[in-house]
Amino acid sequence: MIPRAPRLRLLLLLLGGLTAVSGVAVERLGLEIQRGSVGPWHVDGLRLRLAPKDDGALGLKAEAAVVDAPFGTLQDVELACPRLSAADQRWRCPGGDLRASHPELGHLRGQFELDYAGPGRLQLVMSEARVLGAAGQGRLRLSEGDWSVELSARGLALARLAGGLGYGGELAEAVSKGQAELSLQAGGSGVKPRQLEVDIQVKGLDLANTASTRVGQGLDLSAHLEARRTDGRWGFDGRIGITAGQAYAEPVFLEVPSGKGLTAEVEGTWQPGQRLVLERLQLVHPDVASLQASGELELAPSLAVERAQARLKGVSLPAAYRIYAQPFLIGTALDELQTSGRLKGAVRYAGGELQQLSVGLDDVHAEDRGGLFAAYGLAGELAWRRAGEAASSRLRMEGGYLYGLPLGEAEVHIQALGGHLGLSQPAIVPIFDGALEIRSLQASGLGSEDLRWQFDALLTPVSLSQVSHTLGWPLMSGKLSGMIPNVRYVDEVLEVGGKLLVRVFDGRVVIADLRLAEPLGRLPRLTANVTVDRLDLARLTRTFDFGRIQGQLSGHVSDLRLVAWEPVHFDAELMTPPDDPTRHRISQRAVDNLTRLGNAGIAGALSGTFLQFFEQFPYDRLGLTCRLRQRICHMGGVAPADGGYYIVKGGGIPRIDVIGHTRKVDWKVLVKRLRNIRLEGEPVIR
Amino acid sequence: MKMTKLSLLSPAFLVLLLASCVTVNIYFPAAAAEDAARTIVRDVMGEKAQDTGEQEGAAPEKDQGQGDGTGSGAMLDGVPAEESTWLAGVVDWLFPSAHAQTREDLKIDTPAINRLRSSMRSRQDRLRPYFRSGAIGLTQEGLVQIRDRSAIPLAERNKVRKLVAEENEDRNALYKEIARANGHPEWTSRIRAIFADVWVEEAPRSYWYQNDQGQWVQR
Repeated sequence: MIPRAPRLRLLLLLLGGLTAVSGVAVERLGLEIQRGSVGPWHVDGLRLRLAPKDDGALGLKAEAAVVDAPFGTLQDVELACPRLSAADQRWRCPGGDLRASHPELGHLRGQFELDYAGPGRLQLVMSEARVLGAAGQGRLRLSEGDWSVELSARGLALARLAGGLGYGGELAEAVSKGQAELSLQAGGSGVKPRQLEVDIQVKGLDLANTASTRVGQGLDLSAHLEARRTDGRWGFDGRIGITAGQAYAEPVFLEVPSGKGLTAEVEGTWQPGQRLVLERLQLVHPDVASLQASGELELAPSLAVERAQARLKGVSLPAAYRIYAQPFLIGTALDELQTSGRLKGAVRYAGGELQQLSVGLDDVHAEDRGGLFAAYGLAGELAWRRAGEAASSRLRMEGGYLYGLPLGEAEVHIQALGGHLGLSQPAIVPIFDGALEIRSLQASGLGSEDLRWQFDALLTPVSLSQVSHTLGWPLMSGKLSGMIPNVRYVDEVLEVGGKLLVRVFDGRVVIADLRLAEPLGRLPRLTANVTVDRLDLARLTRTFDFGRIQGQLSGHVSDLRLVAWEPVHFDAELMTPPDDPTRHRISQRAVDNLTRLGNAGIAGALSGTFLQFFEQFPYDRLGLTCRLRQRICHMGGVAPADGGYYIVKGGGIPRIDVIGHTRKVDWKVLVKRLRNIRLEGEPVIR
Repeated sequence: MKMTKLSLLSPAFLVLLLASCVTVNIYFPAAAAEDAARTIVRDVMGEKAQDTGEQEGAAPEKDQGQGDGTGSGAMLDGVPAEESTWLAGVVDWLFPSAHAQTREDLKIDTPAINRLRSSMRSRQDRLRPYFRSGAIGLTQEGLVQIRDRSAIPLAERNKVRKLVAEENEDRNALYKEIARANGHPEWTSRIRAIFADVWVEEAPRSYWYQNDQGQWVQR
């Protein structure tokens, strides 16, 4: 709206000429110009009218149909200067009035005062200016090549402003609502500004990009920026605060509670087209976290971060997890944590790469809502460095659990450098009365696609009674222990190189070739080969309340495959070993239970009623085999029998044989029965 | 050219061609896969709840019969295991005439698949409003995708992202598991393609889906 100097000069020269001849009685003078242009300004249908007043002043009225200005096209422009006066090379126009209309901004009007004191010396004051329902005022001063501008406006309708300013693209589509109050003050010399101060208050701002990945709703903002240029470099100091509303920048959603606004403060220097230095950037999210950062950005030839460092302080859980972490973790095993505690962190970035990273934990609790794992009372630090000396750190845990197994207090010492991370000394994680001794733990390929974990551990004997109690299994006695060497975790597959030994029921169970795919996925798949060596059946049957059997049990479960912890495939063979030195006895109840399992009939010369008088029977061998395929257990026994197979082959008197006739049993049913056995009362043999 | 033609017509090549044709056609039981997909999709989407109710009821009933102590019900003497599966029953019930074809059926009654089905079924109520509003739609890959964020209130967006991520995890696992449970992990992509069609066919009106050109259209 401020006419540039050349045009103004032209106009004033013209007026000057007119007043020079005003001694002649001229009552009115009119001038019409069809089309004219001065610099970037084009005027169509200009009409000027001058009428001298009694006191020597001039009344000026100018009308133009179209004025094409650099900021857009104005139509129906009317400019009135009711009392144009000239004295001592000084032109004044008090009480001026300007009206125009703009296709987007609508009707514009305002009052102005002009004071022109020769080339380069001008003061223009706008008051009562109205545009888009906003009331504004402004002042422009030109003096000996220096200039200053002051503008202020209230009630600016942002949606129309964004459209009206002809940005056309993103911003115009984005802003749909909101009002602003603006005050701006700038100064400079020549064409270049030297200093700038802007203050903006925005209320009820609604904006969204087309994809709706960045959205603000009902935002109240206030921003203040001061900038000063010296030697082609701008020093700036700004502050922006969000005091109300909701914002979404995928995937982070912020809701600003009243009285707890978010603030950002920034201080630095800017060399246009070259470099941006942030001396201080501070972001504060009250009660959630605060960040302090500094950095240097190169703007040419391409945008690049030269160096940056940041410190996160007062990160308080669970708010920080919920707002800033969980949205990024969706789809991983960490997206449903219950958290508490505090965190802090620091990062350093230089030469295009992350150089250093550390996270401090203070009484952090994290628990999976699905009950898969938990860690309580985490305290200490996790540190990493790209190059140079490895970063050492230490992390303590008060307790936790994994797959329901409680873990005790533990401490790990970690060293991390580049793509590697490892334990600098063995860690001991207590599990009941035993412990998992992690002798080494290494991760390689950190931050790459090829992440690998490897660890060696020793499980010192853990009472099975406690394990079984915790996991809701039948109470078992014995100890669980083993070497767990060379465990690798690559591509979501956990492989155990060694053998896990379970000492249970006075015998041994060895689990070999253990492999667990997608342990944290939808369908964890486990494969293993299990061998069973001389379990004491007396202890086993007592534990499972099966009915008493004396003897030993050996065998194997080969090619065991579990999907989602359910067996889908195995070849099992469990029977009394041929060289079993122990006494073989089986109780009536155990016979009955075995009978049910195998749908066996009881063969033998003796009738059921007679057998009732015996508590137990001697036997030669017993055992069952099952090949599980497609949910069907293909069953067998210790030896083929007439029309079936021996589950119990009798020996001695009274002799009893349990013979299975059914070769195929539905696995689901079999499991159901195994479970039911414990609940049934004393059985009766028919 | 002539040489090429000759070699193309050579008997060895014909045999090879024939063999490969046979392999392709018989190898993948497309009709059975579609039936299986339809059964699962209807079950998950909760449409025709009665059908699924009956199907679901069938399995436990069998169990009870088998738990009577004599054990006769539990046994499958003389009956090929395949015929006893739940799928065969369902397929028979749905498509009596398709009986012969579906003998070489697709197994979908495994604990893993049942688990995925029930997980997806229980999520359906939470997804439905977003399907209806057009916020999410069905993709060509047999998955779910957020297609119109602006239809989701800001505060619910991450909830929806999580629902979609979980649903897709289940769906991906389901396609993989059906292929694997039938001993052909390499079928995964074909099973996925069949499911992609069936999800759309079975979807209620107003649901959005991606057509063959990848454009979003409404049912």
